[in-house]
Amino acid sequence: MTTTIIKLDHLQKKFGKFVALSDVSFTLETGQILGFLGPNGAGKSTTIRIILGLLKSSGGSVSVFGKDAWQNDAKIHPRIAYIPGDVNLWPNLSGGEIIDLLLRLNNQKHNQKTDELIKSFELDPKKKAHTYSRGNRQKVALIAALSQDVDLYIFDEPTAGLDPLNEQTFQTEVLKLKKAGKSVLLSSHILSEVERMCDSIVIIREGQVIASGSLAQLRHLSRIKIAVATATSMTDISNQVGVYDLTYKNTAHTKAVFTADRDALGMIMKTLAAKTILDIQSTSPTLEDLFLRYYGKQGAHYAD
Amino acid sequence: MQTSNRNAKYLLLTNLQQNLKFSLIWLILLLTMLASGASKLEAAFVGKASSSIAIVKILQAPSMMAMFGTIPRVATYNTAIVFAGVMVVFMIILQALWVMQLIIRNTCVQEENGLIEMIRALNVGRTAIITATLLELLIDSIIMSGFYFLLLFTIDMNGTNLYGDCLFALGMLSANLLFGSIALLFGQLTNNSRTASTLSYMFLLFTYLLRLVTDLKQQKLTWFSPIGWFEKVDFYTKNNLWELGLSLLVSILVISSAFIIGSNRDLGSSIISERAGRTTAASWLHSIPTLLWRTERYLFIGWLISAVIFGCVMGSMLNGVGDIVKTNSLYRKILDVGQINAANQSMILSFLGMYLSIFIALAAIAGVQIVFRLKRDDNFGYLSIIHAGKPTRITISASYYCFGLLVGGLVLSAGLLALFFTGNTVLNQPLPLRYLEHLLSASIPAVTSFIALGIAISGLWPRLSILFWIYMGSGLIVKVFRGLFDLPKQIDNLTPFGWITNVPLTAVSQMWLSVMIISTGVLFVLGIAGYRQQDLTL
Ligand SMILES: Nc1ncnc2c1ncn2[C@@H]1O[C@H](COP(=O)(O)OP(=O)(O)O)[C@@H](O)[C@H]1O
Ligand SMILES: [Mg+2]
Repeated sequence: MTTTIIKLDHLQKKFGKFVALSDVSFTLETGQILGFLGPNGAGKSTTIRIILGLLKSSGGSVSVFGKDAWQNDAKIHPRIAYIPGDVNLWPNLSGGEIIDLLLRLNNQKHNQKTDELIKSFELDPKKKAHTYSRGNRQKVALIAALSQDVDLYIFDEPTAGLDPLNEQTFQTEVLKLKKAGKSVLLSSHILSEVERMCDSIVIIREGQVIASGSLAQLRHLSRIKIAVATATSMTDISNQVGVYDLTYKNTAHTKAVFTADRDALGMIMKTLAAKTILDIQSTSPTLEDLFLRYYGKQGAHYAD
Repeated sequence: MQTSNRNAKYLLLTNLQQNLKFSLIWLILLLTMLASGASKLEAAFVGKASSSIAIVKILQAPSMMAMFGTIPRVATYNTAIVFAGVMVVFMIILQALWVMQLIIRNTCVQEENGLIEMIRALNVGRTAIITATLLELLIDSIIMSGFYFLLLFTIDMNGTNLYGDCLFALGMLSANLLFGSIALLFGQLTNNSRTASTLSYMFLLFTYLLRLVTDLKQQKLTWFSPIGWFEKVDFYTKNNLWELGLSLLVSILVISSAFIIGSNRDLGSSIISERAGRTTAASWLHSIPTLLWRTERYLFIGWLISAVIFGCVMGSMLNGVGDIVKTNSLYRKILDVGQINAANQSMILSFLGMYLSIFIALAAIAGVQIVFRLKRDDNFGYLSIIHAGKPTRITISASYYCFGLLVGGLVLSAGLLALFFTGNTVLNQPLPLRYLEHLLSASIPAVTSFIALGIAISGLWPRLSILFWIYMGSGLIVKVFRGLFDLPKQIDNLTPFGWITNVPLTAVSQMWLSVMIISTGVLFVLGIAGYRQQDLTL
């Protein structure tokens, strides 16, 4: 049985005259890992702060666990673990002290999981927080959040300061949460990161949700961009299933750029191989590519 | 030197712009104080021989001498001499509060923000930040003393001349350099703005106390206090030049050491090295109040120790305050022993009344600092994870606010107890305990109502904390100068300082006591409710 954990309905937020959020709606169901994707300044952190009851919305409604986020923050918060986008810590406390404090303030204890996390993230808990780099501060918050046993985890661009190895550790931990049936809201500006961990995606730009749905529904987002050069002309590739946005880079049609569905890759490769591949490059699309290619200003909706 | 300071010019321009509002407010405050001091005194002196003699008499009383500094003994007094006697110490303290903050903002705070790390990576020299800060200090001080000179020249007090006005302006300029350079040095010695500003304020308090004690007991020794150097210039009488030279020389020495340290130290580190922290938290660190104790305890203990020292020093002055009546032969002739003792005691009590407001102000600052830390910690983002956790906003804000009230109350009580009991060990005629009761029962509610005002402001209009400083600062200034100038009673009654005017001679009135207690409660609740409604911009 799934229940709704977070429900945003036409959320708006103004800072004075500046409209930070103009229309944000989405839901997060139990057990779902929802990726909240958008470029810098899109309004991800603002949305998350409203969900946490730190900011008061200027319009629309926000409910978390079926309760109003602003009115009932005291009832909601004990069931949430949160990592802010920019982690700042008391400069004169050590990392270990801060982890314990954050746990205790949520009625939890330093447990075996905490020690495991400290080890796997390779944090030195003895150092004072002012000596930590951005990544290390992030680790302190990650360890405190991940060693809690709560219903909802909210991560605001959690991997921004982490090196690839720790990023990997983080992804493993999120997958563990998913197995345990926890709900996760994860904001990011990197499409591939969200794809790897999440089962649904909400895309926000300029304070507005422009696309949302399950990973399957947004399949086209994960199309791979391919640039290829062949020995003989590949005119017939335009009829191939799963090839989109094809442009030839020369009149002989031996150089081409297109995007491809992942499940059609095998077939496409076979066709290309027949033409003798001279050079091939594939890249995952970036968020900017997506915006450029699929959405004008208006956007599109798949779920709801 | 050339390469170490490259591009200091751009830093200077940026800093000037960044601090424009801050410095402008201070400049206006200083000029207002100077202008009103000069014109009030001039008005009191002109054409009223009796009132001028009265003012000089008042100023020679020990409590006033302790507060404002000594006034030279000359045959005939004019406005200018009295002006220098009243204003020099006072203006130097205000200026020091300004320039010390300015220097620490430009060096430590920016270093903490990571701004300097970014700037240093550009084509900016190692000591360019110090150079730019010093230049800003110099520019601000030159503007300040230029206006001082213009004001003094315009008001043209009785007894002034061009040379005297000029020297006064120069004297205040070198006071800025002296205290600014001290803050600069402390900033290079430590790695955080908190320690640097605490050390700077401690230094200021120490120099003030040193001059206070020596002014009362042994005026030759006032030399040992940097503030004393400026007293000893004797503006408008002796106009001693070389005392200013001494202060300049010391400033240069201090500045050079700051440069030497600044060009050799690691960015973000201090000379005093640091121990590693704990692997796990102490078992008591499990709530917001204990978190505050963990983060603010040194500040709190520092305040407590300063209050006790201040109390002990002031207490040991009490016999000097009384002695003066005794040694005055005229009093001895016309009064019997009982009357002399009574007169002594009333002198002591009025001295206590005067300093009670200073104790209240210090305790209120200690408490309000913690209250305002709530918004500061919010802005730094320290609290964002905690806000998303179980502690509610009410728990968080009430913890900061109550801790602030507690710190204020304890700092005050410690100071007053030290004052009273040290006083009684040196007095031949110890003060009865009921005066201690008067002191505490009036001043504790006064401190809590000041702090509660800070609480309400922090909850309702967190950006307007300056309102608190204006209210308390002007109240204190009115209180301190009320003995000298005839100020309307209504002005005095606008702040708690006025509500406890006759304490400790009499107890605080029931009415004002209830006003203070009720306003503490109401303002506290307003602060909590306001914080509950705030957008937490993290
Ligand atoms: N307190 C605030 N006052 C004014 N504008 C703000 C405030 N907080 C955020 N903004 C603006 O709202 C927009 C969204 O910011 P944010 O939610 O932090 O973006 P994101 O997290 O997606 O990068 C930005 O343009 C930002 O400048
Ligand atoms: Mg953000």
